[in-house]
Amino acid sequence: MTKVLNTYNLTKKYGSLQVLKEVSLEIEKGSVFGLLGPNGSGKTTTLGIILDIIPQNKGTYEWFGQAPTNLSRKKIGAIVETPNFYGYLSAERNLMISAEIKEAPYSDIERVLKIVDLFDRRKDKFKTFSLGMKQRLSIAAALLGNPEVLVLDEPTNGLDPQGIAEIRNIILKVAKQGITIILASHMLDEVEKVCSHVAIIKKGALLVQGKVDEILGETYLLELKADNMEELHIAIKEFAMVVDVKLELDKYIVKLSKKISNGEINKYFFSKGIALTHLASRKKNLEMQFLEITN
Amino acid sequence: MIRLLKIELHKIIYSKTFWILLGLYIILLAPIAFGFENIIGSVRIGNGSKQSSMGNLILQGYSVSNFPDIWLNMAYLASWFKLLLALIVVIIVTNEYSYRTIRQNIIDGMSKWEIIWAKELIILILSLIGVILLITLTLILGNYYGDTNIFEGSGIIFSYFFSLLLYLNFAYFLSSWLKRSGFVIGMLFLYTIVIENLISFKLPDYITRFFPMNLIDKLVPNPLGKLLGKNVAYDFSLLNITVCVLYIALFITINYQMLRKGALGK
Ligand SMILES: Nc1ncnc2c1ncn2[C@@H]1O[C@H](COP(=O)(O)OP(=O)(O)OP(=O)(O)O)[C@@H](O)[C@H]1O
Ligand SMILES: [Mg+2]
Repeated sequence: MTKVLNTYNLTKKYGSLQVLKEVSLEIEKGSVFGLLGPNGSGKTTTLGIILDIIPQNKGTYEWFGQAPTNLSRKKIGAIVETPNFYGYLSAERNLMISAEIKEAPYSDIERVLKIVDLFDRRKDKFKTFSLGMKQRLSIAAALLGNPEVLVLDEPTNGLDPQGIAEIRNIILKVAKQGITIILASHMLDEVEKVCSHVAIIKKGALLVQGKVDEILGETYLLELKADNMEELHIAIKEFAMVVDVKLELDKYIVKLSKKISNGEINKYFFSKGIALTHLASRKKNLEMQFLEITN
Repeated sequence: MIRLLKIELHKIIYSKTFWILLGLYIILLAPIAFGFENIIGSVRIGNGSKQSSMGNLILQGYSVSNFPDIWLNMAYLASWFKLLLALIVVIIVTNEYSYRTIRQNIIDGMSKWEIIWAKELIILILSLIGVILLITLTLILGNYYGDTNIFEGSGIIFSYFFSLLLYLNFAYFLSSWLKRSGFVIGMLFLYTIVIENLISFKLPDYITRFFPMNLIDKLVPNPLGKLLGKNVAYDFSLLNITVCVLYIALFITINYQMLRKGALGK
């Protein structure tokens, strides 16, 4: 697989505060890559470094397998943190500046404005836009000139539910055209809904990276209760498929390595002489998964 | 180059502030230049004997509007108004930080050198506007006589041009350093009026004459000394120009280093 972006041991300090610790990422062409982490974990810093607006203390990165230059950035559409435009200029004029910098034709402006539904407001000054409209304009700017990669830092920040859904649809549509997308977010469901790959960072350290279904994929959880909880515990530990077990209030939460039908589970405990008073399978939600990985 | 120019023109053509400042520059300078001779001409000198014109007082037919002296007189007058050109530079540069567009411009694919050359283009254009205005006003207002060689003394044009480049680059440097227009304007005044004089205080002349504002004074000197019979001439020496160019190179280098180190504002 060709790599769109590689980072090698990116490290960043602000004074004594270590913001990034040796972050090495690998992003494949055509993937929708989620950079997931809680507030302050270093997502924006990472994106800032790979877009040359924040200098790293250590480490390197490559775009399209080559040392980065401003020319590689012309093939990237990116928004970092907040929409940045000239307040006194119209939406259209702002996009003309972006187009000129990226060497994209002005004729592309109409297309991207229509995608984000701002074409009717193109003559209005940027400073008169609402936050959601500003956010959409920055996505329009990122789409100018059909970039090979889209880098989006919290693109749904400040949008209403409808706006969030619209942006997601745009991202999915763009991804279908084979454009690689790098999406920073602290919202799990956002990453789950649109991403094929994910990297999780916490306090500047990369915890895991890989395919979404491998990392955030379902694991199989059971809730078990019996009259004699001690016997139950012993029996659970003897069960082959069990990965982990813990007591939560009055029930055992059992993590299984693969899905097994409730019938078979019942059969197993019955053979151990235990009658289950409670058996429920529960899909582990992402929230828990995320907290577990980052804790 | 054309691309950088187009990028910058998009930013300024619809900027009201830009047009107001440039308009003020032209609108203020022109009438004051027209009134220049009248103002000086009406000054009473000596023991109260009223003279119709200072030119008559200092004989040899001197008048501020005569060639070749008018070149220096006009350049000196115009030099006062370079502050308005500097304000344009300050506004244009600090806008990029307050709108955070400098980040976006880099993200979109400008190199850090391109960020600088784009602004240097604007500085060049503003300096050329200053020069063109100087030439125009001088040619309109100068007193012609049969044997006038209007080009005599016109070398001040180059001297004036370099003084503008230096001053505007100084303003650019302060802007990319301090990033907030209020601070920059404050510092520009503070430096011009206080700081340079303060550090000059105990230093010998052969050093202080190369300080930026002193250098500008040498390039476009105050012509009033002439009225006192002193020999006043602009000092467009190779040494002065070299120092001037070195300053500009220094400011540009510092600007680049600040960008490289990621000083892109909050
Ligand atoms: N200019 C700066 N000076 C000092 N510390 C900074 C600076 N910029 C960021 N930081 C610190 O770096 C850390 C990571 O910040 P970053 O913006 O990358 O987080 P993030 O993952 O994008 O968070 P969020 O989800 O809130 O956007 C934070 O602790 C932040 O306080
Ligand atoms: Mg962030």
